[in-house]
Amino acid sequence: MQSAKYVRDDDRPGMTPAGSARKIDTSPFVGNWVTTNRATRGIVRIEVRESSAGLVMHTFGSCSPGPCDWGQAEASVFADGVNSTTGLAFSATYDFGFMESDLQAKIKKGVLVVAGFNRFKDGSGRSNYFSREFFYREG
Amino acid sequence: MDSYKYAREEDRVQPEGNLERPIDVTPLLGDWRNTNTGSKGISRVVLTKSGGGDLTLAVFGSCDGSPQSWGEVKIGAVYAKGAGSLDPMGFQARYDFGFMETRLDANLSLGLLVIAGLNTFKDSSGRSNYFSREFFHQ
Repeated sequence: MQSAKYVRDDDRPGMTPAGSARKIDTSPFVGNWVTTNRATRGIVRIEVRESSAGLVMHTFGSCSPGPCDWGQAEASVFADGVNSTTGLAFSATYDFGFMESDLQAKIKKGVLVVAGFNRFKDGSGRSNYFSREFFYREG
Repeated sequence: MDSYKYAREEDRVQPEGNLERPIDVTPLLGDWRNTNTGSKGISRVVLTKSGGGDLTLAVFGSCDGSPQSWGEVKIGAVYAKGAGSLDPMGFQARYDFGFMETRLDANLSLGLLVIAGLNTFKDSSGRSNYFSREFFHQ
C-alpha cells in the first residue's frame, strides 16, 4: 500500500522502509576541483570535503592579483533517486552581503559541473546572472 | 576604479543606464513540454507574466501517466547571461508541499528549457533527498 505522499511518480518510495533518511554517499564529490578554463572570470577552484552534516565546499573566485577566497559553505547533498544513496549533486549558498550565489553542482563523466544563480542585493543596477562552469579533479 | 563589490571578475561590470531596465523574460514565457513523454517527473511547465509584471510558474507532475497540478508560484528570481546583460538565461522557483520542498533551477540551452530539481523531504518516509534534471521544449 502506498502511504508516502508524492507529487510525481519519481517521488514514490517503492519498498523503502520509513524512518530517518539514509546517508547519501558523498565520496564522489570529495577533492580539489580546478576550472577547465584557465582564462575563467568566474570560479577558479573548489575544495570539497566531508563534514558531519554532509559536505563543506570552499570556493575561490577569479580575482587579480590572486583568487578571491569565498570561504566555506555547508552543502546539501542529493541522491539520484528516492531509493538511492548514490550522491548525484550538491548545493550551497554564499551570501556576500552585496550578492547571493546559489551554487548547484553535479558530476558528469568525471567533470564537476557547477551552475551559479547569482543575485545582486546592492542596487548597483547589475543584472542577476546565471553561470555554468566545469572543473576537473586535481591530482 | 571599481565602485562595486565583487567576488570574481565576472561581477565587475559598470552598469550602463539601460541596466536599470528589467531582464527581458519573453523567451522564457510559454507552455513547455517535457522532451521525454515517458517522464515520471515533471511533464509540463507554464510560465506567464501578469499585468503587474510578476512572472508566474505552473508545474504539472507526472502521476500514473496523468498530469498533476502543483499549483502556481511566483518566480523568485530571473537571471541574465551576465551581470551586464538583459538577455534572459534562467529562473528559480520553490514549491513547498509540506512533506517535501522542491527548488527548481531552470536555464535556457539551445532552445530548450533545462530544469534541475533539488528535492528535500521533510517527512519521516526514509526517502533520500534527490536531484532531477529534465528538458522541455515549447
